Order: sequence, then C-alpha cells, then structure tokens
Amino acid sequence: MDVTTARGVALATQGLAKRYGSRVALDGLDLRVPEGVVYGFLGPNGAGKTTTMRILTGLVRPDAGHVEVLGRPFGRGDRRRLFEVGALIESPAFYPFLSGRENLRALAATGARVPVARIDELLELVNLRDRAGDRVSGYSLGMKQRLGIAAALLSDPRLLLLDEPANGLDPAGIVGMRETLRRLADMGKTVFVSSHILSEVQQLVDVVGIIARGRLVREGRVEELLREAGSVRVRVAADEVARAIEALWPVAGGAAAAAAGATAPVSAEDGPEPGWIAVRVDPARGAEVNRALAAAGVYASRLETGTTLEGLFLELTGSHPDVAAVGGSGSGSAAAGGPPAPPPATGWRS
Amino acid sequence: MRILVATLRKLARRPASYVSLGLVAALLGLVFVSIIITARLSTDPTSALTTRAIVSFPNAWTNILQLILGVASFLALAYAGAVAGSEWSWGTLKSAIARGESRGGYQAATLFGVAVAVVIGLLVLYLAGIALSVVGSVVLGQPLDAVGDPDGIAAVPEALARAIVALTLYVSFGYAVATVARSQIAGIAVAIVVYFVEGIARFFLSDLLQWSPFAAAEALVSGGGSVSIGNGPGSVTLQRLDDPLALVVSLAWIAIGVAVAVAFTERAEIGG
Repeated sequence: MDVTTARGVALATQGLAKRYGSRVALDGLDLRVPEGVVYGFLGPNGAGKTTTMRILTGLVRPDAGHVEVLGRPFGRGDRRRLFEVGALIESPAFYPFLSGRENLRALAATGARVPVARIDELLELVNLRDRAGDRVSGYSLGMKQRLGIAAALLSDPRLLLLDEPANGLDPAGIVGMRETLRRLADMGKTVFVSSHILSEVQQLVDVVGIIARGRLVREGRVEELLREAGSVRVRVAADEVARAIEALWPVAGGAAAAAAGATAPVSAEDGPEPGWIAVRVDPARGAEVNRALAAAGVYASRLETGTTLEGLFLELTGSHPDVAAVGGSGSGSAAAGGPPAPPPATGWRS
Repeated sequence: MRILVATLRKLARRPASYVSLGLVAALLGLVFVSIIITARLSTDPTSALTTRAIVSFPNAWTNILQLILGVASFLALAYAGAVAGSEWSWGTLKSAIARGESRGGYQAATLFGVAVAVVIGLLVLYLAGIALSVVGSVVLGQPLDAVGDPDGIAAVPEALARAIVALTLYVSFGYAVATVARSQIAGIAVAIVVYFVEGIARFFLSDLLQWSPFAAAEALVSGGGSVSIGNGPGSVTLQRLDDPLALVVSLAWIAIGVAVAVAFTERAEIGG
C-alpha cells in the first residue's frame, strides 16, 4: 500500500544502513512517513529503532543510504533542518540540579529560538506547572518523561520524533500524552513514535512501520494491516489455557506451521487479562474455533475476531513467545505420534 | 552568546561550583593559618621574615594570586572535567545537538562559560585573599601603610591576567580530556592522573616537560626562570619557560584544548 497517497512526505529514508563493528543495526531501511499522521515505529529490541532515531536527529551518521526530513535531503551540515524537529530519544536528558523550568530554559538556548512564554505553556500542557520550580533530581520517571515531551515540543516542531514516550507514565499520563499527540497530528504536525506498548500504539497511530533486523517488514495504515492479518481471539479460564491451546492446535494447522518453521499459530497472549489466546486463522472460522474448544470441554467466556497489533507484530518480526511451562515443555513443534507441544503463556524474547 | 549565558546560569545553580569554591577558600584559609603560625613560631629570624613577607603588603597584592593558583589550578581542572563529562553522561549534549545546535559551537561556548565561571571564582577568592592578608598582617604586627603602595597595586592587573590565562589553560585541558573520555568520572580521573604524573616527571625530564601545559601555566604565573629544589648534590633544577614564551605556549595549549574538544565532538557518534 502506498501510505503517502494524497499527502507530502515528512520523513523518508532509503537504503539506510549502519553497522557497529560486526553488528548490523540497519540493513537498508526504507521508510516513508506521510505528513500529518501519527506514525508508529515498531520492532523488537535491537531491531534498529533507536539507531534510526539517532540518525534522524544527526547524532549518528549512517554508513549508507539517504534521509529526507520535511521534504529535503538531510545529511551532514543540515543541522538547521532540526530546528523544525522535536525529539525525545531514549531516556529524557536533563541537568539534575536544575528545576524543570530551568532545564527547559537551558535547552531553549540551543537550536531554534523559543519565546519565553512557550516554556510555561508547555509546562502547563504536560501538567508540570506546579512542580516546575522543583529540581529534576526529585522528579519521578513519569514526570521526567513528561518534561521530555515538553522539551521535544519547545520549538513548536513540524515533525516530532518520540522514542518510547509512554515509558514511566501512569494511565492518566498515557491518556494525556495520547490526546496531545493526536491533537498535534490534527494540527498538521507529524508524530513519529516508537513504542513497545502495542495496545497503546494501536489506539494512537494512523500508520505503522514494523522493522526487524534493521529492515522494514511492513508499513501501512493500521486498520488495513489488521484486516489483512486477521485472527480469532478467545478467552478461557486461566488454568485451562494449556488445554485450550492443545485443542486449538489442529484447527489452526499447528503441525504444518511447526514443520514449516513458521510462527506458532496458537499462542497465549501476554496481556493484563489472563486467559486470552490468539488463534491465527481466518476470522470467519470463529465458530469452528469455538466448537473445537467445546469438544475439548473448555468453554470460552469471550470470543473476538480480527487481530491485534501485537499478533501482527509477532508474526511479522518473527518474535517467538517464550517457552514457559504451561501444560508441559516444548517449543510448539509436534513430535511424531505424540500430542502437539503447546506454545506458552507469558513473556517474550526477541 | 545564548549558550554562554545559559552555561553561566547553569553553573551558578550547580552545587559543584560552590563546593569547588568553598574547597579552595578553605584550603586558602589553612595556608594563611599555617603561614601565620610559622611566622610566629619560627626561631630563625630570616625564615620568619620571609614567611611574613608572603602576607605583607605590597607583595601580598600579587603573592595572593600564586597562593590561590597553588590550590585552585587542580580544582579548576577537575571542575572543567566534571562539567564536560556530565554533558555526555547526562545526555544533555545529545539533546542540544538533536535540536540542531552546532556541536563545535556548543562545546566551545560551554568551555568558555566554564572558564568565565572559574575566573569569577578567582576574583572572589582574590578579594578573600586580600582580606586574609590584611588580617594576617595585623596578627603578625606588620604595618599596613604599604597597602596603598602604587607599585604594588599597579602590578595587580598583569598578575591577574597571567593567572586568568593559566586557569583557562587548566579548564581547557580538563574539558578536553573529559570530552574525549565522554565521562565525568573518567575525565576527572584522567586529568588528575596527568596532572600528577606530569608534576613528578618534570623532576626527571625538566628540559622537555617545561613545554607541557601545566609547566607552561606555572612559568607564566611565576614569571619564568629556572628554580632549584633542595640543597647540595641532591638538588634538582627545574627548567621553566621565560616570558613571553610561557604566554605563547600557554595560549597554544588553550587553543589545543579547545580544538580537541570541538573536533572530537564534531566527529563523535552520540549514543545513549
């Protein structure tokens, strides 16, 4: 899908490559971020997200490839292009002995000029006005994160790059951040955000780019990607998850998938609500899934069709659920003549 | 200019600024106390006279600066290293660069800001030193008539200028080392090790190391000329650069320090 249809491109990379010694961080990354959208940049740990962010902000130079920022090439010597870019990369960086307000003032002395009144506006926006005079060393992680978002917005940027902005935020903070970012996108600004909280990303972003091993594996509008990669989700009692997975394994063609080395088609989800199982089959086969469960004496308390960004992410990045002990050990491959070894319940490795 | 002002504002709020200043002031106070005690207790009239002369006017106008530099140079080195290293450790340099600030410009302005802060500290300590000298003269029963001696006062601007160049050299060196080390602790540690190793090595390689940064700064402040340490066959003569060579070499070392900090930052890949 052409995600840039009918819009300009705020950010684009072509063949972006970067190595750190023998380790390949980026291996020909091609991104196209349309203007005025919230773009979710997803990938497992070590996929190259932060390296990309560093290149986009001029902190690190790519070994090869091209970058375009706000419609013009961005390379060495184009630092002034960043006057229109706001960034929060990795953890927020502040002088611990200065207050929140003083930190913003110190940062405002660099890069694009910032009106003094802007600092108080932003402190208000991120709900830090009451603590603006306190030293940052006394701030919680969430407060530092909010101050980091305020710092990224200092010069009223057209393009905002945020690396894990929800880190450390409480639920109210996450909702506030989501509303702020959506409002910015509605104003025509482009928000490029990486996050590991996929449920959060799914609610926030318009377009998603998923990378693995330094390459883009899928890019497109979230709803379209999810429609293309449907699945059935069922919720059973937590102590019946292993039995349910075993019952659903043949329905989802688990043996064939295991033989082909594909991602396990049935897996327990690692979410806040226990008992959810994702079955990667056509959403139209929901009744069949329910019947298989009932035949095994397991009854679903809920059944949903479609897929989640999490399921899509796991499938595309080749991340595998960790091998935890749920009804036995095994990696999901069916041993000849024996029952399928069900995949696990919690935790991820990448 | 914006970065310079911001740097001075930051340093004014930084606890290390006051800890360093307080430490030098305390050490200076101890030096004065020891001078007064030595002068009062000394049984050798020549020695007592020499000791009294340190805190007596008009010589005190310039002697104070040498006393201050004796204790402050080392701390200026560590302070500059701490400031430079923390820009990397805390990620604040990263934030400035990500806002489109010039890497070299940011480092040069910050280094200059640290030098200005150190010079302000020097002036504060100098005033305190003058006050201590007056107190010392009174305690030792020295006349204060010479406080207003025109020659003594006239020598102050040049002595201050030399001290400022010397301290700037220490700042520049500490800042450059910590920048290359990219770390507050590593920068301070390396700078301190170099400081002491150079000091010891000068006893053995005096001819060569008179060109080194700290030897040049010392020669600049003391007015140059060789100096003998010890008596008899075991004595050591330390070569020191004369004027104006000491000034030229000191300025060159400052320029090298700035260039190293700027060039390293320009080329650096900046991570977390």
